[in-house]
Amino acid sequence: MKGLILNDFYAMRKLLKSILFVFVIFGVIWGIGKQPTTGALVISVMGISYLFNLFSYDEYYHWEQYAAILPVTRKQIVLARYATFGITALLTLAISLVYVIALGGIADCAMVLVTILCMQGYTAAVIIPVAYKFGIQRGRILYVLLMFVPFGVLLGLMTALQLGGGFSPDGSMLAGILVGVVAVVALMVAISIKISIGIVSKKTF
Amino acid sequence: MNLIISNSSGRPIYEQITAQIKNSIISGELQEGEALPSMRALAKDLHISVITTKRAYEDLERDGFVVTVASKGCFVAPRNLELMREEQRKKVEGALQQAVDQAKMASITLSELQEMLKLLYEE
Amino acid sequence: MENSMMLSVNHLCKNYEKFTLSDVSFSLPKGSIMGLIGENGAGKSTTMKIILGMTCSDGGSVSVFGHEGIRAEDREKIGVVFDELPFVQTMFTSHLGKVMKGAYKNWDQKQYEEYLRKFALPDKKELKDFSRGMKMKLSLAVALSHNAKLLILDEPTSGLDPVVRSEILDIFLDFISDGERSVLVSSHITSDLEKVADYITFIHNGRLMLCENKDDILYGYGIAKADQDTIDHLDSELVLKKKKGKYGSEALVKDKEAFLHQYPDILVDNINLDELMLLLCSD
Repeated sequence: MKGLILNDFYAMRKLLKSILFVFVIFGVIWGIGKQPTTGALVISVMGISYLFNLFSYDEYYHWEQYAAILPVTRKQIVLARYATFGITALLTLAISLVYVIALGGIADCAMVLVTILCMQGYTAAVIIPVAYKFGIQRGRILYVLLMFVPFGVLLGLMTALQLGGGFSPDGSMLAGILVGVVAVVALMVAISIKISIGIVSKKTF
Repeated sequence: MNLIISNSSGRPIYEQITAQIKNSIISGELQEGEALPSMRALAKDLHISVITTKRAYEDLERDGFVVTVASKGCFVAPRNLELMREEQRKKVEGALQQAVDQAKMASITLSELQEMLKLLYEE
Repeated sequence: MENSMMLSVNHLCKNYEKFTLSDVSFSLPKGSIMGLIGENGAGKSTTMKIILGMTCSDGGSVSVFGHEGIRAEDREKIGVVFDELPFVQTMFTSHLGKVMKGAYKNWDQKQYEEYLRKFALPDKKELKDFSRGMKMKLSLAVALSHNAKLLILDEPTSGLDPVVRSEILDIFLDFISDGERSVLVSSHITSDLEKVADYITFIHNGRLMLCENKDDILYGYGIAKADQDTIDHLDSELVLKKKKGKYGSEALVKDKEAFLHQYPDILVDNINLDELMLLLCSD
């Protein structure tokens, strides 16, 4: 499994420069705009979306065929891909936190952390099974559409709250909502892994 | 020991190998007890399949020219004069058979042929 | 008997929309090389993919290393070479070594580096800039560097020049030289297999046409050539196939000697694998 994860990172090697470039650009834009938390969110989502390329590489370079004859199970192949997403999520998270703190947003750190983790978890949970099943091209399109879902939910929630008479949630309630969201995302990732294993186990090459 | 393999002679490669090894043994180039290369090494060096060298060695063993010692390899068998004479006889017979066929085609009679043979032999 | 077999394929079947593999069986003994021949699309790759567990069969079974089915740990001992380089081609050979080290328990980094040197494959050069021959050699280097017992190669010599092809055949002979390892190699360049293969398996349109000891084929089979009338009246016991020509007819004979015994006056030519394939496939 270690070999599969390493392979993913070596495959991304050539993109590293362009990824860092994008990070800097976005960092500067939102830094100037004094919205480091938004910047951090964009950076981490951008960072993980670069990994979508892995599915193209799998196919284009016939790596999926070779992975199928390595001494690993199909389940391990899938878990390795999730692990790549996980490691990348943690890396971009670290970068984002440093960025937020550097721009003086220490107070928002906890919020940024949870939001980013949830966004990345959501991204991986949606994109991986879709890419395995339908290919990454359709996966990307679906992903763009599905990105509106969490924002929509958030917006809906806010509107509902405002309509509810300018009610502003207190700290404990906010924490409760956060825990709830994290639990939902964790559940999504778990289900996503199960579905992906099911898809890849049935794949033939 | 030299082994010259022809791919275009039409003669099976294992036959070419057995014939040449037999010659080397008869001529004394290969001495009694001398080890032959392993089947697999020979295959590799001659660029041919193992099944071919295996067949050659089996034929050599069947004809009593070599003995196989399990897990040690193949060795030149003790010289057996009877056997070698027999082998040589077969060769001469083969050559004579060719001469007879040729003679029949050219309608040369048996007595003519005998005369020729006598002359050649006494030369 | 089963223990001396590296690989057994029994009555394999696979149905695709436009192609059916039906009842393919063969066995590969330890220490030998089997050549899988057949035209493109005959079912060679499908057979190999089923053996490797990349595709499931619709019938029949595969035994590897003496037990039925292929498990993840069996693949530890199988080296595979595909006709296309299956690695991410923006990598260097050293990256690939690290990936394989993380994938195979028995990865032998020293051996890998030795093959890289032997094959003159440079590091710090992206794999996509390698020539076809270099890519094939790299695939082989990977397949040979994790102590595999069985090599399975799909068209490894196609598109390569004779020098490289000869080097590759040498490696096969070297690989099986301890008598414990085997090679299954598909190719449509039959002259390569004529040299080094011990067994020939011929698949045509998804069906097994022939699976025999190579020497028995090359020295047993023959082509009888005569006028059509003579060929038409040959003993059908001795003849596998007949083919009419404009100036004479041909018959595929399974046992040259027996045939010549019965028909000493008919010309019987030796046969090579290409001619055999053509005759067996002809209608």
